[in-house]
Parts: sequence; C-alpha cells; structure tokens
Amino acid sequence: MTSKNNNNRQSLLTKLRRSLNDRESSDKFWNAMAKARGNRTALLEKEHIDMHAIKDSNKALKTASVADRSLVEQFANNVRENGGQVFLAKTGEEAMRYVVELSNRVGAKLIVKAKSLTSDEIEFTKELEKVGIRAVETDLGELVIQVAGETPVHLVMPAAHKSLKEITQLISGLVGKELRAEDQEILGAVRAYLRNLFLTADIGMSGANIGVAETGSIVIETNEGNGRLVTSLPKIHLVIIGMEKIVPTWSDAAYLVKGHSASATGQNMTVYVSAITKHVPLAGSAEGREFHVIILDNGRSKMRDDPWFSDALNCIRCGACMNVCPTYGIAGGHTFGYIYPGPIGIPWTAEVHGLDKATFAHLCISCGLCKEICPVDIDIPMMIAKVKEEEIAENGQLVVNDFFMASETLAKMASSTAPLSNWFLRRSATRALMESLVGVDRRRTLPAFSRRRLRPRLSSLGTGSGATGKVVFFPDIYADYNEPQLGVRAVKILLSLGYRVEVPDLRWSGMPYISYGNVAKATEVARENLDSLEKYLDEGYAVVSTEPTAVYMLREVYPKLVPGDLANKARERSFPFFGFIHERLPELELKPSFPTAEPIGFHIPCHDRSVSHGTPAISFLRGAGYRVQVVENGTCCGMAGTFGMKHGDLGYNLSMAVGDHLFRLFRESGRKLVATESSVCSTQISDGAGLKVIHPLYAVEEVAKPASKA
Amino acid sequence: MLNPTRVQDESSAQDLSRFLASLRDLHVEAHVVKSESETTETIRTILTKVGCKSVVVAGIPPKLRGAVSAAASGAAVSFVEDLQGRPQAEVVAILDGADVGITWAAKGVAREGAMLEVVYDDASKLASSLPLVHIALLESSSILPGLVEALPLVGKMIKDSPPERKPLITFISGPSKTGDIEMRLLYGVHGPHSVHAIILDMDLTGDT
Repeated sequence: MTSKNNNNRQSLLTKLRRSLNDRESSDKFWNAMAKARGNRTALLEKEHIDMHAIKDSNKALKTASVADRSLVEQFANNVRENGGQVFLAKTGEEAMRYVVELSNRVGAKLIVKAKSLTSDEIEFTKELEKVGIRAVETDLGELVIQVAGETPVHLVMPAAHKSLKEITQLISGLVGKELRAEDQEILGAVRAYLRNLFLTADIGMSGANIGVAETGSIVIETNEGNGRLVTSLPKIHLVIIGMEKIVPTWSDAAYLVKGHSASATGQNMTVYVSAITKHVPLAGSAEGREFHVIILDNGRSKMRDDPWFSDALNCIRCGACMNVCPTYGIAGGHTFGYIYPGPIGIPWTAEVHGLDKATFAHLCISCGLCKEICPVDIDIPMMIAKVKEEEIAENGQLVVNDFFMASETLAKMASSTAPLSNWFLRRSATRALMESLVGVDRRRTLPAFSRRRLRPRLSSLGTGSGATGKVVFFPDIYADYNEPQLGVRAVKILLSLGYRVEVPDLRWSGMPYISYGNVAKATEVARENLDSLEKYLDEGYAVVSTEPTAVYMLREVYPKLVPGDLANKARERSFPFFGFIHERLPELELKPSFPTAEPIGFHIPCHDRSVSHGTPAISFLRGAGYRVQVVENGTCCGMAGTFGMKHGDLGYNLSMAVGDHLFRLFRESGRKLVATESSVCSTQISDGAGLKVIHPLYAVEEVAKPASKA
Repeated sequence: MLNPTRVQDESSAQDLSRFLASLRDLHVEAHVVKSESETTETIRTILTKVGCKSVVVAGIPPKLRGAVSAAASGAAVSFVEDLQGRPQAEVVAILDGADVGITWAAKGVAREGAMLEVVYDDASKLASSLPLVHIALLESSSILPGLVEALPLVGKMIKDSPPERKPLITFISGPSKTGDIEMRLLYGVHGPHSVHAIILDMDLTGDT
C-alpha cells in the first residue's frame, strides 16, 4: 500500500467524520434529497407514468445509440453542413486548447456559461482563468458554488447544501452590496448583475442534454432563462457535448426529454426546451456569429468498449440516483463525490478522472436503490462493485470486510458450536475483542445461532406430494443457521399447499462479496449455486426464499455475473416467499399471533423493492386480520446487510445516521410491533427504534391446511 | 346536415381544456379570445396592469399587428421585424428595455402546458426572453395533445428547412424559475417573471 493511496482513504474518512459531526448540515441535505424524491413520486402518480415501461425503452435506445459509432460522424457532418464548426476532443486538455484558441482569435475576455457538468468535468473555468479569460456561471446554483470556490454537490442542484444565509453572503460579495437574506432580494440582485454580463459577453457557452444526429441539432433543457440568453446574445455560441449524448432521431430525443425532467425534478418538462441547429442571425445580421460544437471523448470511447462500464454512458444526468442514495444523503456530494457526485459519479469518476479520485466508492452500501430509480435502468451497483474491486486490488482489503465475506464459514462454525458460541458472543469481553481485532462494532446486536439447522428439522415433514408444483426452498444463511424455525414455517405452508419441497445443499447467496468489492468470489458462488440449481430448474422447480437478498441476487445479480440461459431461467423462476404463494392466499386460514386491534408496522427491504415491493407480504398480514401501516422515507434503513455491523464511521455510525431518519418515523407512527422480511433490517429497526420486529411468518400462529377441493 | 369536422372539434375542445388546465398548473395566465377586438382588449388590460411603457413584438401574423398596436395606447411599440437592418446594439437595447414582449407561438402542447416558439432570428427569441412579462399569442386550432406528438414535428421542421435558414425552436412552459435557494420555487430569474397565453379561438384566415 503506497502512502498516496492511504491518503485517499484517510481523506475519505476525515470528510465522512466531518459530515457525521455536522448534524445540522447533514439533516438539511437529507431533507433536500427527501423533497426531490417526493417531487418525482408526485409527478409519476399525477401523470400515471409507468416508470418500468419507460426504463426498458430508454435503456434500449441509449444502449443502441452509445454503441453506434456512426452517430458522432453523422452529427458532426450535419452541424458543419448547417454552417457550424465541430471539434472532436480526445481529452479535456484538447477541448480547452480549442476553447482558448477560439477565445484568442475573437479576442474574448468574458464568457457566460449555462449549467454544464461536462464543462465542470474538464475544469473549464479554471483553465480559462489561467490565461486571463473570465468565465462566469449563469445558473444560480452553479454561480453560488463558483463564488464559493466549491465543486457541485449534486448533478441537478449543485448548491443544494447552501442555506439562504450563505447564499446571501456569497451574492452580496459578488455584486458588491450588502443584501438582505430574502429570496426576491437575492433574485433581483442576481438578475441585474448577470443581465449586464449577458449583454456584454463575447462567448456564450452551453452544454447539451441531447445531440440529434439526423439534423445536427442539440437539445438544451433549462428553467432559469439563463440558457436562452447565453445562446442568443453573444456572437459566439460554444457547445461542449459528451459523445455519448448523441441519439439518431428526433423520436429518440422525445423519449429522453419525457423521462429526463420527470426523473430529475418531477416536472413534465423544464421551462425551456430548446432545439438549436445553428447560431441564427441577430436582428438580421449574421456577421461574426459562429456556432462551435466540441464533441468530448475524455475516456468515453474507452468506457464504450468496456463490458462493465459502458452502462455508465447511458446516464441522462437526471440525478435521481443521488436523490435516493442513503449514504449520499448523509455524507453530501463533497464527501460522496469528486466532480461528479453520487452513485453514478463512482464509475464516471473512476473512468474519466481516475481510480484514485473514486475512493468514495466505499461509501456505497449496495442497497440497489439507485438502479431501481434510474430511468434508464443502469446497473450502477454492479459498476460500483467493480470500482471497489479495482480500488481494493491496488490498496488492499479491510480486515472487517474479509471477516464478513467469510460469513458462510463463520455461520457453520458458530452453528456447530452453539449454544457455547452464543454464550461467547453475548459476553462484552468477546465483543470488545471482536471490535478491536476484527472491527465488528460491539454496539450491534448479533443474531444467535442454532445448533440444529433447517434440514434436520424438515425430515419428519416429508418432501410433499408435488400435486401443485415443485419448489426448491433457499434459506440462505438466516433461515438455516440462525432462525431455522422460520424456514420450517415457510416449508410447512408450501407443503400444505401441495408443493413438493426440496432443500438442496446450496452456497449462501453471497451478497457481501458484491458489497465489499470481490466480484470474482461473487461470480464463483453464483456459478456454484446456478450449477446446483440446474437440474431442479430443468425439472420445472421454482426457487423460493424467505430472504429478500437471496431473491435479489438470483434476479438482479447472478445474470450479470454468469450471463446465459441458466441464469436467465433461474431469474425467471426465483420468487420471494409471499410473492410465490400470493395467488393462493385465499386458500389459507391465517390466525394472528398478536392482537389485531393495533395496526402492525411494516418495512420494505431495499432488496425487495424491485422484486415485490412488500406487496404480497402485506397481503399475507392483512389476510390474518392485521391492518398494516407501511412506514417509509423512500430510502434504506441503513443496515445494508453486514455494513451496519462494522465498527466506526464506515459502518455502524453511518448506518445509524441513515437509520435515524427512519427510526424517527417509526417512533412517530406509534406502532409497537413491526414486520419485515429482511433479517438484517429487523436488527436495525429494533436496535434503533427500540421496537419489536418480527418476520411476517411469526405474525401468524396457525396456518390451517387449505380446504380440500370438491 | 352532418358536420364532417365534428369529431375534430370535440378532440380540439378536449385539447383546449387540457391545455388551459396545464397552463394554470404552471402559473401561466390563460385568456381565450374570440375576436380581434377581444384580443386588443385583453392585451390592453395586461399592459395597463403592469404599467407597461415599452413593448416589443415578434413573429405575430401581419393580420394581428393592428390589434396589438391598438392595445398599446401610449406605450412604445417595436415590431422586431421592422428593426431588421438597425445596428445590433440598438436592437438589443430596445429588447432589453422593453417591459413586455409579445410573441407568436406556432403550437400549443396540451398535456405539458407548453407553447412552441419557432423563430429564425435571435432578436425574436429575445423578445420572449428579456422582458419581465411575456405574452404569447396562439391559435386554439394549433394545440397538439402532447410532447410525444410535438417533437417529431420539430424534427420535420428542421429537416425540411435549408441549411442557411434553420429554425430555432423552443418549448416554453411557464415563467422562468429556480429551486436553487433552499429548494423553494421562485419565479422570474433571467427570463420572464410572468407569462400570459392568449388563445385565439377564431378564424384567422380570410378577411375581417
């Protein structure tokens, strides 16, 4: 481990500590993200937008466009045919050399900029400053961080972390007048200050949301009106567009325009959606008016040719992934980012800025919510796992991560030595030792282990008639080594419904390999499990689990690790327990174990969100007579599997900081009893909110056999 | 006698009411007018209310010039088309100094509450960008159901025009706004603070 790379990790921890200490800023930022989530959800509901349908068509369109190498040339040719100039920049440096040359040729001293994260990527303003050319941000959020000397904290809301008071201070300094901390006063001052710059600037620089190859046009989506002035008043209109933004036709562009602002800000469209094909004359005169388009590579062609990272080029910069990311919401975009922040910022930073800038990848807790919310269905979690793997290959793995990646072996050991193992784990001396030697936080409740595992307990039940179908029950670790009684309950229900149930010897699902950046090991375990399942799948078995993460692995992760028919078949035939029995719920007679006068609280695990969203489990509870109150803030509870068991900031502390926002909601709900299907969410909510948390199968004391059909 | 355009009228009526609802949601003041004199009256009311001293007008059909001029009563009116050939700095100064910009929208987009601006000169675009108040005139018969129908039309307009005269096309849906100060929605940043849509529900072809 070189000391330089130690510095990057240390710097990350220092910034994280600062974020965790500054509770006020963190809460404010968290609330801003919650509001952004809410805006998006409100629009989707109001307009009845089916995001799942849109995800698939967007993904197909973007993937095809990114792969089509003729588009850049077609786009460039059309721009030139319409009188514009095109420069293909291999690197940021090349792009900036072009900008400086252009500025010198026309004698430009002042450039007004519309919001462009691509220009931030290549440090546009800084490079121009070096040669004495002033580039002023005209988007309010970008202007604020420019004056503050900071990088953007969010793709869409670059100054989301700034308070009115801070903004007032910054703008007062800029305009040279002491302003009152009042919205309209600030707005008025900014309008007047920038109006003068719009009118006198030599060059107007903009990015482009989309490039349309068939006409050589760009589409710019803005709200403030600054984009309109930047692209019309100055003699020169300069565009910097990433090469991956180009799509073939206007019909393609329509899909992206529809999806972009819905996902970004909960708007149907931004206030101004402009289609620009040339720099048109002003008051009848075209003299000196030029249109320049820099098409930027800067690592994009390398990403395009990389099977793991080409997916990142599908990004349409909506920012939804960072609105939902639980640890980004606590740490903020300066800790969880370099120039591109948030989940999508991890693969982008690693590829265009360098692996050493992407150390913040370790803040990802693999909840998978970024992929779920992405309007282009980008597999961000998988790319993050690869970045973690690369970073660890250079700088070494943490001891505590190795410990938890050995969970399968540890569970075997703890189970075979129970109840002694449990006795040891309960002793504070043991926990103190585990904390200092390995890094398992002593404050975290650990589950107990069962000597007698699941299969021995099932032998007396038989395998079942198989009259209604065949099921492989996949307990994963929890329903086998910790709480096999849960597995027994599940299997009993399946048997009573007439299924033949097998519990073959499978590996664990292996999620921690993904969380801690060992994609190689994850692939190994995926292959092994799929090989074991093959003969069952061929014989028409379904695979059912009570563990949401196991289903998530089978559906979302294994097909990426071991692409092919087998993984696809496994994905199609894998079900969460309640999802599998959902249709047959009316056949069961469910007797509640707890009084049903009070509603039961419910938490949807992140790994179930894209699978069944808790719906069938909730139906099961209702079937037993419970009223169910779902308590959610739209993001993760913070436990994230074994992450919340790790000692310190990159573990328990961050986990509980995320969790606090959910614990508060649970306490406010007044619910005394909570149900959730995830074994680890269960620990988090009971540890954090001090409530009794059970698996829904424990909410019913008796499940009567279905009545025989006449 | 059967009216062959009846189905067309019904869906147009639907589009119009959807358009009006969307405009309302976006803080655009909408006015439906059925005659030239009503147009004049409506514009005059707006200009008086905002204390307008100078108006710039771009892109409206020549037929409506009279109606607009009549509404101005006292305020200075500059038609952007007439300013062609004047020094750019002068034209920009007039546009920047105007209180109100009156422009033509080629299409309305019902579902998203957007108005389609199609211009060939940036002075026309500045008429709807620089002043604090923007009044857009459009025909009710030009209202399309949604963005999905509108964007292919945009592509066609661009494709069908020669390289030297490509249109500059913008969907405008409401006044300029920002959420950059503590995520509060604030109107009137660098573009207009208020937008009016005057929907001409009348036959503009022929005389009268």
